[in-house]
Amino acid sequence: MNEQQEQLLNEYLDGTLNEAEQQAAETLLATSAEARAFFAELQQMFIALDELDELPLMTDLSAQVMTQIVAEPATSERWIRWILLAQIAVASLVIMQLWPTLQGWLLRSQDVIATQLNTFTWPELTIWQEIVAWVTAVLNQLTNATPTLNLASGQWSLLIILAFVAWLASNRFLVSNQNEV
Amino acid sequence: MAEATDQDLLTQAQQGNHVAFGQLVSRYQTAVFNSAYRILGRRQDAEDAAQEAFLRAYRAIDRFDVKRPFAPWIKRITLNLCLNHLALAQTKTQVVATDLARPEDNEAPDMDQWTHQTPTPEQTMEKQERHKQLRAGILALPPNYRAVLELRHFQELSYEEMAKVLERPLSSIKSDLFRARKLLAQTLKSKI
Repeated sequence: MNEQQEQLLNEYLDGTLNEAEQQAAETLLATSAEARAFFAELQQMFIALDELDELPLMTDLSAQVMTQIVAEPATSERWIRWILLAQIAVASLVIMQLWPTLQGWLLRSQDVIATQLNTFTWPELTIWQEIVAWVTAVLNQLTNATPTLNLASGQWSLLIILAFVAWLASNRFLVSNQNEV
Repeated sequence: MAEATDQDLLTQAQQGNHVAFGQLVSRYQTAVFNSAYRILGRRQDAEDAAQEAFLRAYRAIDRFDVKRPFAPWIKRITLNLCLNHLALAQTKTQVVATDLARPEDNEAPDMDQWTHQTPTPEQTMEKQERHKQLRAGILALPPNYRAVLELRHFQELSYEEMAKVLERPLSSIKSDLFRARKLLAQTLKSKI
């Protein structure tokens, strides 16, 4: 009997064969004494494994586990998420307050670069100007005393996505492998 | 009063009830210990692995879907822990004769047996000897073979589920399972 036939009988006993394969296994068993002897041994092993008793546990693990759980830091994941959200909110407010200063610095930097490189035409500078103009438009609207709903939905969506990614990045979901299974 | 279901205990544990989680530990500690013992082969290592598995489960309890059964999840954690332990040790587990011969490793006497059908002492000893040889045979296998036997015969996973748990191709899982059974059969035959 070859290895393929042995595997067929293993799967037959595991109950994972389709109809045609079952038929092939049954034909093999009907025609080969060697296959029948192998199958009988396999069945005996299956029964022995099924009958294997559990060993008794001599210590109570629950007491030890509970002791360690109680000693663990009190801050649960739930609270960590709220803390992270609060941090992102505070960071956003700070950025909004500082934005006029940052904007001024960016524009001055842009002027310096443009002055010094006025003999060159750089496509990258145009792209940089467009990025600065876009970001400025978004954050200018956010620094209004009352946030308006006139901000383009795309800009709001992008802001929300960026905030969510920042939340995920500082959360364990993205960077740590906590998935035990 | 009806005993709390696993789902009830898990929900309470997610709400911060440590005692509820403790009840889950009590309920499954023997099964988890045995799962670890079948892979590691040493009582102390198995107890340590079982304890660590429950701690990891507790830390991840917030992310667990309580509608899923707890037993397969905790056993999977245990299996991964044991395989990582063996990989770090990078040694084939030596089945220590004393681990199998200690009286406390044999079945605790079950008083319920002493009612109508009491096996004779000889039958009990024969059964204990067969089980001891079977455990030794399993522990003599390489870790990946022990893992597939554990998942198929003791956790009753399908081939596809085993492939997912062990993160290996289906063909590799089938091949390991068949070879594990073949090796185990040869080992048991040689002991007769």
